[in-house]
Amino acid sequence: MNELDVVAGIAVDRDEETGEYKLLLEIVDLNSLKQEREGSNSLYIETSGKDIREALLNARKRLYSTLFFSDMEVLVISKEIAETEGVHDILEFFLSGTDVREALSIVISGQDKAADILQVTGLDSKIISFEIEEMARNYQKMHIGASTVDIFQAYSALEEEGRCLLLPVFNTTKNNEDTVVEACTTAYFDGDRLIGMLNEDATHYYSLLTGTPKDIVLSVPSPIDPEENNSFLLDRCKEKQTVQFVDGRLMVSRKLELEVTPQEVYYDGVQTNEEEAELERYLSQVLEERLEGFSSKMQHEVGIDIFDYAAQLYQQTPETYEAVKDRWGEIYQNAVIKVDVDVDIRPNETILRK
Amino acid sequence: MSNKRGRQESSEKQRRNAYREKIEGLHFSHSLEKNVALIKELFCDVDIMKYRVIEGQRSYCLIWSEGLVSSEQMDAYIIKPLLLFMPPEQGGPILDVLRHHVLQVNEIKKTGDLFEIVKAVAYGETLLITDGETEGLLLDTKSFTTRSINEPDAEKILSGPREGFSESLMQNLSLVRRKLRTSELKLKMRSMGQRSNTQICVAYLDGIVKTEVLDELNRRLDAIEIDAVLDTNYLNELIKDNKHSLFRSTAYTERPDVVVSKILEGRVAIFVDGSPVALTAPYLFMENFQSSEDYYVNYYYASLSRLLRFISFFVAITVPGLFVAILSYHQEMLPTVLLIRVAVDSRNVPFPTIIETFALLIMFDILREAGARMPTGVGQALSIVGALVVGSAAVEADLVSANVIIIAAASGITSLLATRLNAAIPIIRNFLIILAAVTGFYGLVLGISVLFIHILRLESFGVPQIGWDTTLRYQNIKDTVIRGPMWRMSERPNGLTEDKVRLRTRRGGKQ
Repeated sequence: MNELDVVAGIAVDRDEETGEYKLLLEIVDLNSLKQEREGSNSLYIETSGKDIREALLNARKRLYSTLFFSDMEVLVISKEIAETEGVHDILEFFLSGTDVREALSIVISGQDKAADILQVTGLDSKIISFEIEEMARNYQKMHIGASTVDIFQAYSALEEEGRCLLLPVFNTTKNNEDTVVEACTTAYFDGDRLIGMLNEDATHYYSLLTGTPKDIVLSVPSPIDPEENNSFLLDRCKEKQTVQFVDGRLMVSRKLELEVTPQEVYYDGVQTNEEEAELERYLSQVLEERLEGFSSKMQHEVGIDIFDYAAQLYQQTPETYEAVKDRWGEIYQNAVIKVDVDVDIRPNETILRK
Repeated sequence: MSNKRGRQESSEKQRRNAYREKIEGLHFSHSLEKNVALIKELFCDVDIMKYRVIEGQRSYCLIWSEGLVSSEQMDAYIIKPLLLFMPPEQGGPILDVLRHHVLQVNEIKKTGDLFEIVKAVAYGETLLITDGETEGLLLDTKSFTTRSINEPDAEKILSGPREGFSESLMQNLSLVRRKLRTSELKLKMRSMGQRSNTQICVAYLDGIVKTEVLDELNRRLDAIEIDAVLDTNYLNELIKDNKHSLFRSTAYTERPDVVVSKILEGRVAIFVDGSPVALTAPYLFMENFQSSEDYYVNYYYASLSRLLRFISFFVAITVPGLFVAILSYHQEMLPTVLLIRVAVDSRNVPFPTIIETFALLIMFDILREAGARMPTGVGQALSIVGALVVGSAAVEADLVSANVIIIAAASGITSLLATRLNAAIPIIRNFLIILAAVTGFYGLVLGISVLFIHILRLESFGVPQIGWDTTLRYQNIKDTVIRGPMWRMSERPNGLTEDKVRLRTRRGGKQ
């Protein structure tokens, strides 16, 4: 036990000059923890190699203790590597080549290098990898519940038929005088290559359409004054979806039943049931338009099946999927996707139901 | 080789019986003086022997061991009648006259067997011999100072009967007899130990006890040839089924209520004069976790207590091994936060986990043993110094980690709950620690499997100790890990008796 160096997280970058893999290992500084020192409780080892295995072997040369990967919490992959090389080989190496847990979280670094993400001081934890891991899990629960950040599920998404990988993206930002990390957006992949990122609104729409949103505030223009926004907190989302293949076309129907609570409403409250029903109809209509717009954009502009319709068709009727999988891109482009939203506003002090 | 051993045993037996044969070769003569001289020779250098010669128309001699007889009884009911007695000229043999018409003693035996006489006089009886007789009278004048009936320290309970056995066999039997007022209770006395001639009593309920068990017990007792039996544990080890097993074949208790309840379940009890501990057999493994108090409190509470004892046994034997295996080989099994805590704690400790664990467990056992042997006040002080001062200083000096202290304390404290397994637990625990240190979980699982197999194969007087047959029935488990309600314990334990039903009506209360 005395001869273990507990690796908390690893950042994977490419060295621009040599083209080699550049790894930054965050190691738990047991001595500083024992002495209850102020500040970070991490030690960093920077290492490089032609591949990740060689880089890790080089790291071991600098230590007399054994690098212990089993409790590694996070693997940060740089955006550059994810875009140019893909993440498949990296995930496969860590799943099979080291003794990491299958629940290791995978995140992508945004505009920063991956190593920069691991070198900031945490707000809640003195070991930044642990903080990023918690943030990644929260981000997953709140926004991309349909796609998880665990390494084994990320790897499954790459290997399974018709699945699309989504991972949270982390950046550094300023908090007062300090630099901290934040989960800013969601990266989506084509195969194992990163091809784009969803902005905050798109991430909300994605979570609404996959029925896994939590603590989302929906902001819509006021029906009275479009310059002003009304905001509603989403309390509950019930999603029902049917995916069918009819007459050579993919037909998708999504029905969302939302329960929301008013947060900020730009007029003096809703006084009657009719007014409340009218507001619910308006809200449903706006959300329908937005969700169909988002869905249509992903379908026609991006051309990536981030909702895993292919996987759902494969689960329901594997033989149908097998017959059309070679021209799935075309099938997806021509799919008819309908979104039906039904909003129920729960009364509070802003809206007094009579 | 076996012939040589047989010859050695035969020669040893001859040597042991030489004393008895020597006495049996002696006989009283018609001369009182010669008979007294013979007794004096037999009890040569035994200064507590008293000889009182009463001269009159006939001469008598009373012989007894001082301190073992009642002086009042001697004066009023033996010496005084003898002094006043005028022997009739014709009235039959004098010893018969004395026995039937003069001596006011409850139990009188006429015998000329010198071996029996020596045994009886050494045990508090008084020998009366007279002129012209080749036999004597053994008068029951026993009067020992015995300990009063107290609650046994080792089996204290919060509710229920508080009386416990003492060193007096008859007093112990009276405590049992008082609770079972039936002629079915059989109390068979026998003498064991060539030198000690200790009184042993085998008690059982006729009609309930299994004759095979009783016969097997008698066979094993008959086979014992030992010079002295000073405590029941002498017999416990000599009649044990598996001589090298860590687990017992017989139960032990100092409580009459426990003995009676076990006799009622079809077991046999063995009492040894001079020991406050009674043995009962056959023994079921689950008896290790039972307490008499379980039957005197609410069955929910009793079941919880028993479950705790059961869990404690497994915690006591497995946790140190588990700890050593995880820290030595399977660190990945610890959650990250716990791993870091343990790693931080182990930082700078110079010894491997196995050494730390062993050292602390041995230290705990030393403290426990010292605390048990010391006077109460010193024992408490020792515990405080050992546990608080030494433990805290050792952690601060980085000699041991606090985690190991917690593991050792957890194992030590839980081992105290299963008191009947206190001999087995440290040995099993250390065995599992060594296996865990050598091969990690593989060794630990192997060790636990071997232990389970051994427990499943245990027998006590032909009865499987696990107490279950191939069918799992409620009646077989009602009094094991849990203590079922009284109205659901309608049968006696499986395998102990043929007369299984002990409760014929279900409930007397509200239906």
